[in-house]
Amino acid sequence: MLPVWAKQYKDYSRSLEEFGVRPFRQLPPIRPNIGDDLHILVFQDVFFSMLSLSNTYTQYLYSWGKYIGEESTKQLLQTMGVGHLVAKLGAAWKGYTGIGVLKDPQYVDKIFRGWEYYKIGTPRILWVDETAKTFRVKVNELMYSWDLPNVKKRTCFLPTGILGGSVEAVIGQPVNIVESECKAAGKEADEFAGAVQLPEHKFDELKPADFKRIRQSIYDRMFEDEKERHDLDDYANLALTQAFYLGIFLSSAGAHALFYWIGRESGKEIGARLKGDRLKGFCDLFEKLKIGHFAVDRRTMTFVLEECAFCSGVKNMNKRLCSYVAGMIAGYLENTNKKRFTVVETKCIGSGDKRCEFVIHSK
Amino acid sequence: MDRVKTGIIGLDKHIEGGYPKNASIVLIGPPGCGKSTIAQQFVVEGLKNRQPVIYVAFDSSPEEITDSLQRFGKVEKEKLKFIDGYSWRIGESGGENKIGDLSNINELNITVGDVLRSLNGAPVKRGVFDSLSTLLLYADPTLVIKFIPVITAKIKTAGYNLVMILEEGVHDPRILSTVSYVVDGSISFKIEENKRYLRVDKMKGTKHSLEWLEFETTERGVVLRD
Repeated sequence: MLPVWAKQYKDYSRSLEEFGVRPFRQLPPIRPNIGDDLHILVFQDVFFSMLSLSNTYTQYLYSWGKYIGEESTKQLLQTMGVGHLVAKLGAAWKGYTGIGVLKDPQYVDKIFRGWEYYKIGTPRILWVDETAKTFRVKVNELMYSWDLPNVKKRTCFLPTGILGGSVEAVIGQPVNIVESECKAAGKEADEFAGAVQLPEHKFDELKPADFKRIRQSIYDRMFEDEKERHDLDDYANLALTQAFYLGIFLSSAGAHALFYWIGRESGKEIGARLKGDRLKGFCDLFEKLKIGHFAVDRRTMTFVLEECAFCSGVKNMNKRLCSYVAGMIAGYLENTNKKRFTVVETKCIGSGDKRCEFVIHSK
Repeated sequence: MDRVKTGIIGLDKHIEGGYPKNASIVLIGPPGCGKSTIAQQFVVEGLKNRQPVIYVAFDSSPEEITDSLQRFGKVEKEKLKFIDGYSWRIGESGGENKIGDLSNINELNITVGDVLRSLNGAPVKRGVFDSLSTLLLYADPTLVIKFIPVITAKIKTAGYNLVMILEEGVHDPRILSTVSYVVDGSISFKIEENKRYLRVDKMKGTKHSLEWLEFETTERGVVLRD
């Protein structure tokens, strides 16, 4: 069911509308020049920076994951039209009902093709027990936990929600998912145990020291040249980030403060790691992570960002959407100049402009 | 103790009929959990009773907020005064009661003073800061720590009941403790399993429980579940 806050906004970008459908259809690229990949470290940064703000965000992000999983899978099933009915009858004819649907390859494909297409990770169902109404899923190279330090905690709250939402959309019953194993808890891969009619489980509570280790590792790895993931590459499709970032952004005007804040904290960490021509290094990092292509007017201190990962492909909704990028610029400038800066996004694809523009004010 | 209705029936019952008169209340929670809706219902409740309202807007334009308010009832625009801190944030400037630079606390202080004076006379008045978090992003934290007690005192002395919005976790801890010290009431929000909850953490001169209360947002606004 659509959560109440999701009903409050109508202008959700095509990112979620197409999110479930994109892996099954040839849709136009979101960014014609840079391509639609975005480094997994950007996603890890946004995700863990947000989680680190308060324990409230654990359940919050899990709920968002559930919403993204359920809505995108539902949209996919709807676009199948009569095909969905045929598939349903076919599954029933083969004896797959309830949780048993997870044994039907065509439904497993509906749940997981997006994970592979978006390069979230490589999932497979280990087993389905129809009597106990339980199942288990293993995901290799999951982008959320990949290469994190061992903090002995399970950290993948968002994909837990996405998996739960997708399975619920397919089987039509509430499902509880527990992340049973996690790379960030020192395991070889991530595993999720699912069950119908289980009491809600509690998530692991990460402490400030855990977040500090995780975030330091993210910024350190941004400056390493080593390949992150062995089978999948180091990039995931940006539609995933948009479905998450824009969903939160458009659910509340207050999200600006949240994303600007976490962007600024990230910008400070990045600024501290830059050497030599730091402005060039900052712009090069944006290229490497594929956040977008920066052009900087050093005289007016105006940053222009082409094909921004956060708003490319979004229709004109008369909003400036790239608060995270604005915050990153502010944080980078504050760290490198040792004084306060404010950054105002004056143009944005979300306001109908061709590119994003950020103007710097210093005190 | 005199009370000012929140505009939310279930919440009024929970806190002995409404916020204490002349109180400053802070709403703290993650984005999209209902803080702005509750603040806007507080505004519409005042406008329904012909009480003047001052709305300090940092996160949305006055036009967007007016549209949003109209979901909950008729908005008498002559009773509603905006201070527009949003336009600067998106690179636009000029116009009545627009803040030219959010990092300039003095400018905000002067503009608030001017608007307060223009709305004199009514026995009950209401004010909203939506959101304090955005202001805190741009202004120097040391100045903000000095500014918060001054501005809340100024608004309360002028007979206003003030509701301020804070985004969860997005603050220097020193600022959060200043806000907590200054305000008369504090309400927290959370979202779990797509359900929304609020909890009254503190309310001056009011007996209330510390339980999380589930609520829904309907066409008529926030409704607390029985």
